[in-house]
Amino acid sequence: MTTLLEGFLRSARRHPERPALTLAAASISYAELERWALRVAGSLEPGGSSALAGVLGYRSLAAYAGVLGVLASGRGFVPLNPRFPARRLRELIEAARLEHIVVGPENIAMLRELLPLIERPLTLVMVAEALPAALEAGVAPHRLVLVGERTATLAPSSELAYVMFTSGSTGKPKGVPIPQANAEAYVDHLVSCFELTATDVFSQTFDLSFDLSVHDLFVCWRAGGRLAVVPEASLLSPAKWARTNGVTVWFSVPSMAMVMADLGTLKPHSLADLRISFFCGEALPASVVERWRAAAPGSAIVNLYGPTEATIAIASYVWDPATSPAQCRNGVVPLGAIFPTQRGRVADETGRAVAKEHEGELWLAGSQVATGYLDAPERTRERFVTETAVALQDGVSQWYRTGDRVVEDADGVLHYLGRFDEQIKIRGHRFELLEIEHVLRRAAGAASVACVGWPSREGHAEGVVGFVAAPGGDVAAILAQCRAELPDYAVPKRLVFIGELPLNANGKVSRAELIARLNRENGDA
Amino acid sequence: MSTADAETIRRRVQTFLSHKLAAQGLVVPPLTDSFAYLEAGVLDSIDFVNLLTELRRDLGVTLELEDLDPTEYATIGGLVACLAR
Repeated sequence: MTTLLEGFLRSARRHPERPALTLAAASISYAELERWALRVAGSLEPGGSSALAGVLGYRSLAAYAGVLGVLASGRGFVPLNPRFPARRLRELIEAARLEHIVVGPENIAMLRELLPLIERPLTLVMVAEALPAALEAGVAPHRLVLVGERTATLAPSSELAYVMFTSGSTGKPKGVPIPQANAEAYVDHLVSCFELTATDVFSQTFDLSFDLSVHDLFVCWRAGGRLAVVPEASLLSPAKWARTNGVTVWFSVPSMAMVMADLGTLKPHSLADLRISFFCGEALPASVVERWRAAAPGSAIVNLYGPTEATIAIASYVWDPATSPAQCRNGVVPLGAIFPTQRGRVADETGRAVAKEHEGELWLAGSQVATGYLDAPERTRERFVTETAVALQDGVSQWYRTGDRVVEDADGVLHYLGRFDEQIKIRGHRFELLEIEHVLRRAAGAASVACVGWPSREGHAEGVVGFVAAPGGDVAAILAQCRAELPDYAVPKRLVFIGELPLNANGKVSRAELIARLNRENGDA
Repeated sequence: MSTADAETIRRRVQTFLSHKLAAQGLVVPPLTDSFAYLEAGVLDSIDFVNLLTELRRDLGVTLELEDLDPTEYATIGGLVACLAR
């Protein structure tokens, strides 16, 4: 087994002069990136009570050197997305009890908003040539230091590789600590299974706060390839960018491919250099695969599946043009099979495996599965099952209940059917409707609110619509408060004031009826 | 080839953006040609698709994204100029 950092360092020893990273138009070699990382590690003093450090960077040197530098300092990293509201970032910083954060000069405006919200003194390590004048005064009680010249000697690796935060139904984000061994198991499997090499150029589309970015960075660096970071401006139209940068290994949410198809940029043979395309994060429609195959005729297409709790992805399905169209259900590509090194079971409510072709909840176990949530024993007990006699019968000490409704077909292929709870995916981002409702309820000062993912297309929610049971209200003020607490993709795109919320037979708010109402208004009934 | 003049396209883009801003409860800034609507986060990728779909359907104008640099259509003025070509 090789830790995430060792995978990078091994490639850096093998070919220090080769490019590890392309940022905007600039290439950074393995040797240069290693030096930046060790300078970051040298600036993160040892000690402190936290085994974690934050990285506040966005598609910048600070982001990539920050992640590597935190690992080299013997800590796990916590990605902080500078595009999130400051109040949400404060929550993550407090939940992870961060003392050190690596920051980039691109985030000065965010720091000025964020730092006054935090009373506990933080040490901020700025990855830049000089400290920005705009911040030199007025960060007290925090300490801002410029990344030093001194490079660190490697610290023993921490037990945790990283902590990712996902949406929580109680209104607070959930931290998922991922041990080094889990991340190693994933990267090992991917690199060996798909024969990725040092001549490959890997796309980097995911924000660091999305755990699929860990695949982007560390599968690439372990293989010794070049990580080509899609600039923000090219995210709308990345085909041309991928061609210009000679990308051979693609990874994105299916939504990005759908947008490319809609914008007319997915032209036949427009991605002829691709040899492998990975998709993950949400349902992959077969129609998107067909469009992608025409654009990238030389590329294998792999649908990856897995919750953050099971470390990036834990099942895969390789598209076969001869057999796959018939294997799709409801026009959606199967999840495929659980990695041979991991365990999965389609279970009933008691944890007992159901027969093939019977629907159930997907339970997961193995070296990739986390052991629980950060400081949340109750939530951990709900999802990480250790006490079910049935589950324990086959030598597995702990199962993770995904909440995903699946079915295994006669050929042993898993298919996604939906969720057992109120979690939705908005452009690949997992979010709990209950968390959005929690914020909306407070913002609107109304007891009765409901949110739905709408409009939906091929199982993808394009955004959120909020319903408030009130005669009316200050839309601007309500949504401003939502924007102050939620990531942009989770903020309702529209508010509807309604006399009362429709209820279903069980007396619960009927989201189906609310969606039907929006469809009727839209003329889609 | 476009079938609408720049002024018609500009008005449609402005209307789309101001509806979007209003639905989000945001103060509508002056929607001048220099307004960088993408950077301002007014539109996400799906909204952008919807805007282009509307312009193609109603005005018969399309944006050839493959031939353009993203900086060319980042502002209202740039977008209108690209569409009116």
